[in-house]
Amino acid sequence: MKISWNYLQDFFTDKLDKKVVLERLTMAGLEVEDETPVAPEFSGIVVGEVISCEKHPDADKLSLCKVDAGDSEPLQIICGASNVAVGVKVPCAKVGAVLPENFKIAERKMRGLMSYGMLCSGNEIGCPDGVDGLLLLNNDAIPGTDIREYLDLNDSIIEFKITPNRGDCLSYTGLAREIHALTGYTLKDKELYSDFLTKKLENFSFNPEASDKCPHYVGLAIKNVNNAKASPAWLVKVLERSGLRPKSSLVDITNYVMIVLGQPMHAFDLSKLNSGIGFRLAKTGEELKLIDGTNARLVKDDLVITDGSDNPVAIAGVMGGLDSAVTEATTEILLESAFFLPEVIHGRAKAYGVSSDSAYRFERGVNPDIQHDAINLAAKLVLEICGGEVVGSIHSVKATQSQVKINIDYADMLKLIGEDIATVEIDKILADLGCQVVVEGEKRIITPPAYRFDLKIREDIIEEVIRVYGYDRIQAKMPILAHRFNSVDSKLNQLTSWKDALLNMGFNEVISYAFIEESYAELLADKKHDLIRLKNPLAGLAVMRNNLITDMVKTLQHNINRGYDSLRVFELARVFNGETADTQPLYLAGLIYGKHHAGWSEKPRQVDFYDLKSIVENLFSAYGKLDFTTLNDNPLFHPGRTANIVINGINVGVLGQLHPKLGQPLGLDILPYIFEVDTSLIQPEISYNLSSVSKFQKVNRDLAFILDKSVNVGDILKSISALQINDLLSSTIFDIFTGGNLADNQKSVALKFTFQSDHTLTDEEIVSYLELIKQKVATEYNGQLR
Amino acid sequence: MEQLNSVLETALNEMQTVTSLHDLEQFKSRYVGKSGAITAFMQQLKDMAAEERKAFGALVNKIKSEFEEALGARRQQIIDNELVAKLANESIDVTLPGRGSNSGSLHPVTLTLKRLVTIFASLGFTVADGPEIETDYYNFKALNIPDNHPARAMQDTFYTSSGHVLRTHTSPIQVRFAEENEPPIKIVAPGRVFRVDMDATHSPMFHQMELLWIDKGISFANLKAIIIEFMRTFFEDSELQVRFRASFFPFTEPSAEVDIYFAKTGKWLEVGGCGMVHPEVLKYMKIDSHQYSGFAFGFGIDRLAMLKYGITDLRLMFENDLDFLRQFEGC
Repeated sequence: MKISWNYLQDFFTDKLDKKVVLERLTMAGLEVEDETPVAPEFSGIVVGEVISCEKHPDADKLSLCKVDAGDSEPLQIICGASNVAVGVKVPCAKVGAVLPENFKIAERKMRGLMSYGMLCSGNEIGCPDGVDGLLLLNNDAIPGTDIREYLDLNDSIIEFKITPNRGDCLSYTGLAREIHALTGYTLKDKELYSDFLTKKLENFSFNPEASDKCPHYVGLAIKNVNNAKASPAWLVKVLERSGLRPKSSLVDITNYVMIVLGQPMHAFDLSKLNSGIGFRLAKTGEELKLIDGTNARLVKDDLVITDGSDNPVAIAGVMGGLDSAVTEATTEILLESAFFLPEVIHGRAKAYGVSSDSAYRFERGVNPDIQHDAINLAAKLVLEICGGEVVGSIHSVKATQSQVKINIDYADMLKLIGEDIATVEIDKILADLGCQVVVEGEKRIITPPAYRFDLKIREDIIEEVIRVYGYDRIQAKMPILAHRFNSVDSKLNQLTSWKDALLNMGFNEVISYAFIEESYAELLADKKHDLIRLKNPLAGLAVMRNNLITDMVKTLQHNINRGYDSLRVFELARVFNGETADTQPLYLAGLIYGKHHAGWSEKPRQVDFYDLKSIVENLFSAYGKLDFTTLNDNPLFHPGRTANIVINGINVGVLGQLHPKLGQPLGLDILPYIFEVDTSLIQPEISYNLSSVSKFQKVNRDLAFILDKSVNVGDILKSISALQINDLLSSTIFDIFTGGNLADNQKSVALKFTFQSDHTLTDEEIVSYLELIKQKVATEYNGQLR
Repeated sequence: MEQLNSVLETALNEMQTVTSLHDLEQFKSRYVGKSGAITAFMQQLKDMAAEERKAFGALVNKIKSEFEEALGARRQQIIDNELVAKLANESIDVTLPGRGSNSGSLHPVTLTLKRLVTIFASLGFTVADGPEIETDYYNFKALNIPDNHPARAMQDTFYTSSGHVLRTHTSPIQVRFAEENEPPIKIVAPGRVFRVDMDATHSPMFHQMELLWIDKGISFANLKAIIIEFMRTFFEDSELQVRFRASFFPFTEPSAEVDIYFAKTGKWLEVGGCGMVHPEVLKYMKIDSHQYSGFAFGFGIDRLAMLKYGITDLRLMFENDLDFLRQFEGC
């Protein structure tokens, strides 16, 4: 909300210290967002009256003027403006004046004649009025008056950020009340308005049907008004400096009442109301063309104002209809001042897509006691500005809830605040805020003023007390409570250790948006689940990702475009398989691409499946029995270069090379290797199953087998392990060889076996173990010893 | 006698010119070998009278042992010299970079989060978590934000086509946690949050951390102390000025915005919002507000990360550009 500082000052008998007031307001929850002077710095410019004006003898476009600038002698000033004439009153910069941007005025010779000053346009003094030529002042201006004073330019526009609970501060009166409570500055006495609501409006129907939604409705008819004249300068100034554009006198007056008292008002053209007014709930299918041109399809059960024929003429509290709006030709009006319940107006402006200062206030709440004052002030101004006479009024009141009374025990309050504040100080704060405080035994009964409808419960009062007392005055105190040890969060530790492990393996962590484009979803999303889409996406990011692979690939593309040829990245984040809490698991994914350990000492080579596999093994082998199964139909991966990641028999994820068919649509010549696991499927506890350490010598034996190329070596190791030879400590592959004297479909696999026991192993024992292994490989894999 | 001394003197001089172990062995045999010069004196002994033999013998032995002592020293010297020469030959260019993979990097948000969790854990806070697609109930209703209320307009919300919301803050975790746990409650809840907003200072996704402490006798003065201490610890500045400005959040009452003062710019910067948990919210949490009170504090992790690392454009955080990410290697 914007206000004129000088106009606000008018509500006080004291002179306000602007810096102190704005600081106090900001600290008390009415944050000053911006402060803009209404005019730039300048000085030495006064009202000047042109008393003679003739053509410059040596210049066609210049005028030689005598100007009364309030001094004993008129000044000779040469002026080039086309609208200079005898009798006009204009801003006159005298010798020594400083215009905006430090432009200094000195006497100077123009075409042989001296000029002692300069007559100014609106632009030249930083007050653009859209007129080409001098800024013409009203006739009441007295020559010699400082122009800053005359035009009230020593003013600032202050913009406040008003939180939704403080609808009471959306007016000059409200802000002034708040400043009084916070600073003690004395307010002027409340203005008393003449009462125009003395006579009932005759020959006019009134149907206050939905009075439970509008507990208070007042209408006042005035005839013989003239709405064709522009509003007086003072009114235009207040509105403009409060961020409102002047329209017609009648609209300006209703807006003025709104910003001064906080009561939104409406003026109907009385002749367009079919001799009646009322309010009811909208029916299905009703429509109304609004003042801003919007064709509104009324929502059933929204509150509407209706005319004498029961046709909607306004959306209550939001916006009036175009047909019944006042125009320049309007001669009779019905002023409306109503109290609509906030919940009736909640969200309505947004629903109709209109911007409405009225709805903005009603949905935050207006003072339920101000409607009479508002209509009387408006009527007074209409009669003053537009003329006319009051015809009569209509009125409907429904008893509202009794005023809120809050019981509060100051001792309880101080316990929650944690600070000792003197009872008298609390009482004074509440009284300054307009609350009624009644002592009843240990407790106090607080009745907030009608305009503080936001104060409903004990905590609201506590906030008021410390807000005015000052948050900064409350001494910070550490809680004194029993300490407890935290239990170890093994899931968090697990996630942290994976991140650290990936970091140590050269990965850069990325964080991507949780939503992706449709085009990426089409290519890379997991099609096993229905995609979740956003109703109101930004920048085309419309689909909630259900894997991290998509963003791994997007990150790769981005960095290839930025000139990188190798990278290792990972992300740990939620994916969205559903919308319930248990269908948004944390996934961990990593991508490797390009050269393996590019450096000065090794021949560069492309990363491959086994580089990725060792990373996966490093990450997960501590969390149970780690297995890789090839039965994998994941369409995102190269069918011959992918495996499921299995831990303790549970399929937790996948690793492999991105499917070559995706290369072309993604613009990738080389396909990256990616792993992805659902971390919720991995138990966070590391299972320790230590075997005893033998003191006896280890014995190594090597065997090389010739096998068919299609045999998976991993399967052989599994089969050997299934033999359950207790003394077999480990089996490792140390060489795989094809070609040479082997047939094309053959490979040689060399294995190293390490044996150890609780005694020194004999040759016979070792030979018998090796025999078991040889037989197993021969029978199950047709492997022959080389 | 002089003869004997001069043989030793010659031998010791000559010994210094021998530079390899092999030559030293040959040199040795020329003096103490079968036909060596010193051995020759030993052979003269058998032709001598007993008295003379005793005296001369002692002398020869002394000369011999002096010779061998010197020989031993020379041998060690040659070994040392050879090692020095060998090692000099083995020297490499130690200025070449190390081989193998470089260390990677954690995202600045993760780095900041680690720091935050460490700080809060030291005061006994544990970490809580919750879903990112939320129900209207947890994101709004249970936090005392009714339908259509103007307070909803404070946060521009993403909706899924089925009507769920992307959580607009981490506060829903408060309610979820309180449903599952009895007070006292002392948690931090970090996570991704979403708002329909995108420019240099706004990202449609960002990170928040929510602090919640509910116990008997928790006061506004406690809230101030915890937040001030936290800010000073995080920024490692025990003098850091922290101020509390009255504000409004539907889920806290009284409420405050938290600002910290930057001496460098002379400006206050808003870093978060806080307040005493609203009794309505305690009701939704099924916590007796007569027995328990508590405070909540929510702040942006990204904003703290940006301040800590001097990042000026929020969008950089989620572009995943390696030129940006690699600057955090070693952090």
